Amino acid sequence: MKLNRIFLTIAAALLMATASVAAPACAGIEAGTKAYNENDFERAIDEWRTCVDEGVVNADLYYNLGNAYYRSGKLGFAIYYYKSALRLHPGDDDIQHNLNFAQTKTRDKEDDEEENPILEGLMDLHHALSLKSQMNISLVLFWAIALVILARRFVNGSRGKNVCTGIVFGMSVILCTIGASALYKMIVLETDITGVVTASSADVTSAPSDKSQTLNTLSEGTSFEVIGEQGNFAEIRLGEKIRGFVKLSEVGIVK
Amino acid sequence: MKRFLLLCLGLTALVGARPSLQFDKDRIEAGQTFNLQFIVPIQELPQNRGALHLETRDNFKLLGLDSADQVIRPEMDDIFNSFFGGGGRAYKARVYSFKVKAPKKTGQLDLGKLTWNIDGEPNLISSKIPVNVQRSFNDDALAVSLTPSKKSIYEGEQFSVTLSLHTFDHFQGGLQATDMSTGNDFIVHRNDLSNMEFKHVEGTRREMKATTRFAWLSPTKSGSLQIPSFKFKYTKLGEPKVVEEKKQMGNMSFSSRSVKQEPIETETATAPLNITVLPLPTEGKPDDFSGMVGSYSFDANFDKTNLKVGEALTLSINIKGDGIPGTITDPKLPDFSDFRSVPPENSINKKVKGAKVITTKDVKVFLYPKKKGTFEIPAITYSWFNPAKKKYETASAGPWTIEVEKGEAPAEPVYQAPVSAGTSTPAVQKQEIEFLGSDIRFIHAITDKSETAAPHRSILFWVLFAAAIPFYLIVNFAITRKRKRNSNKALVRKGKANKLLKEKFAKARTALKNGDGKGFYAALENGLIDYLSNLTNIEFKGMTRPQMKQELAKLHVKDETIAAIDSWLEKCAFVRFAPVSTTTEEQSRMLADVEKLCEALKL
Repeated sequence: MKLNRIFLTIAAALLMATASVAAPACAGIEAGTKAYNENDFERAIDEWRTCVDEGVVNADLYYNLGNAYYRSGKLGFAIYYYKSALRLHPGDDDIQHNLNFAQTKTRDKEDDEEENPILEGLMDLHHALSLKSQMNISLVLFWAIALVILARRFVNGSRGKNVCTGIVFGMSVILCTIGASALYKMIVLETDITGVVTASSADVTSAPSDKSQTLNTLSEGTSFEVIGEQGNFAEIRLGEKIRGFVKLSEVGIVK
Repeated sequence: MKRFLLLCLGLTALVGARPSLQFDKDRIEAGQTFNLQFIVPIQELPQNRGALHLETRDNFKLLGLDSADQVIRPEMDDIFNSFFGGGGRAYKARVYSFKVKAPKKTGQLDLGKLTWNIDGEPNLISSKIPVNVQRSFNDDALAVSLTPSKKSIYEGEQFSVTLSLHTFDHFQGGLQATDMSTGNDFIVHRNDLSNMEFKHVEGTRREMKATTRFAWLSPTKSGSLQIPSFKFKYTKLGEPKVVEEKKQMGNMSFSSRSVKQEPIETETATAPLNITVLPLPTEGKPDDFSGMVGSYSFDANFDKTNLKVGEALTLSINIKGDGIPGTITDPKLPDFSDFRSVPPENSINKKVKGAKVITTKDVKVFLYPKKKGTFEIPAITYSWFNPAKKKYETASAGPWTIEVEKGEAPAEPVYQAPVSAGTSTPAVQKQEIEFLGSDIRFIHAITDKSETAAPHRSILFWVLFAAAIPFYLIVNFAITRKRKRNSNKALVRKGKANKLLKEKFAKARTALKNGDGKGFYAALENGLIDYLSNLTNIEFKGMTRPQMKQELAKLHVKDETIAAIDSWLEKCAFVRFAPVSTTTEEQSRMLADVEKLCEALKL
């Protein structure tokens, strides 16, 4: 009886979790798609932005917004939304392709670093599953390990016990691997904040003030690392040489 | 006069006394008053002497002359010399004191020329009186200054600022710049100050001087602008102080005096620099003027003028000038609508050449002709304001004629939105309109599902994750407890007693329903005996009734309960084995009574 109650509680919690991620449909999604197909990119942007403002967080929505901005010549916003989409779906080939393509159109080019093929392969594996999938798999594996350990107690023969031990070991290895990858992604998500110049240009100033000295000017679509925010300014870093403050109104922070 | 001097020398050798020039202070500080003393032994004073005349130089100022007769006593060195056979006796002399004020300048200076009128003629006593003028210990040991190359400039014009540092004798070190901000009104290119070299100032003992171009600046607005003070921190030697120390050694006490100078941390600053920035003249301003002020050169060229469709054409633009350091605006490019272009490549470099920072901008525009034909590219112009000539200048390059022939490369891909099969969302399918990677991929169908970039922030997930641990512990505890319980047979048997009794009663009811009297009593009797056995873990089956009563008594069962059990068992045995028959009602009552008895039985 007690066990039944526990299982029921878990099932109810899972149902609640599923219900919590389902969001109400936004009318702008369909309207935006229709406008996009009619080459009315400005209207598509308006419709899809309405959904974003309503709180819809969706990689496909961001990706489509990136496309609409690209088509209407707003390269900075296009890159910003591609990056936002990629943060939700890091392994999506379409998003990566369009982001790379848009970045070739920026005036300030980012240096392509030559990557180690082994490291590149590991990174591909790392991005094969989204963080959410990795976390869900980890959750299932963790529960499965607990259940197999319990089941082992009911198994009488030593062979059966050895099989259970083997299963637990195998699942633990998979859990550790996926868990490590997920942990790395969590750290990157929390610490690695990027920004994109959405205005036609953004001045990098020496201090978070309008009166401060301009050190550099970044062109539209240039991506940079965000160190922190101070009032209406973001402290940024771009490579080894550029460090300063940009106006938040001229950039988009990918969160 | 020669006779007089010979006489002086002779007497000097004899007595040890001689005319001499000396200062009343060991250290002569800039701006302070001191006395130059000319001492002449009384017996050597010339008879026909006139006035002494001091002609000052190097900004020394003569304030007055005084004279008095004094007894000059030899100093310790002279006493030591006289002891070993030299001169050194006290003598009477006339002391002429010139009260002089030292200049503010420091270093090895010449006080002037001293002459004396004897017999109506001027006789030279000393043609040069060297004086080492030092800074006062109370004054700064470091002098800093900023000097602009120009005090009046145009908006956007480049000028430089020179920083000078001068350290004096009492400078000890620890030099640090605490504030070298140039304010918010200038674009600045700072020089590398690590190569700043200090050089010894000639004619001084320890004074050093360094001068370097600190920065090149360009004002961002017109008006009266100010470069704030630069602040520096350093350590200098303080005023010498006489310190008296008393020491006790046994019954004897000593006192000693010493001069000590403590190091003092001090701050100094440059004077703020005022710069007048003139606005650019509006007269003659070209339409394409984009704000550059200085002397510029402009050049633009195409790498070829004949090409085929599919080939690239490169327009290279080079702009070079000494305006705002590190900044050059882009020239206005002509309409390249007949060409497909990729974003131009820009590179900006700045380099210090002579007294200026020269900024160079190279722009490369890559153009791909869309079709064959002859294309006229108009001239590209670039304008700037030359402050030296006080006028606007314009340079131009071109025009060019570009001949494009038909090539083998494919035509320019033109974007077309895919035709939707319907108006509803599912009509949007993933289509790639990618043309050899030359365009973006098509839009995605959007699901209503909201996602999160940070699922790890969900508390529910972590609750579900952590719930596995208490779940495991609870279930494990339950299993362990159950197993422990199962290992005690008596307890298990007792636990099952009620269940088995109910089964027996169910059997009895079935027998009652079927009219099977023997079966009914057998089930009732067995049920009661088994129930007792299960509760007590004592096998009552096979025991005689007196044995059974004895065992129950040992278990402290009440006598009336024992009697009731015995009576029921006897009844059951009697009915089973005697040829008597009972009615269904009697049997039902018996079953109810036995059930009550069993419920009341507590063991």
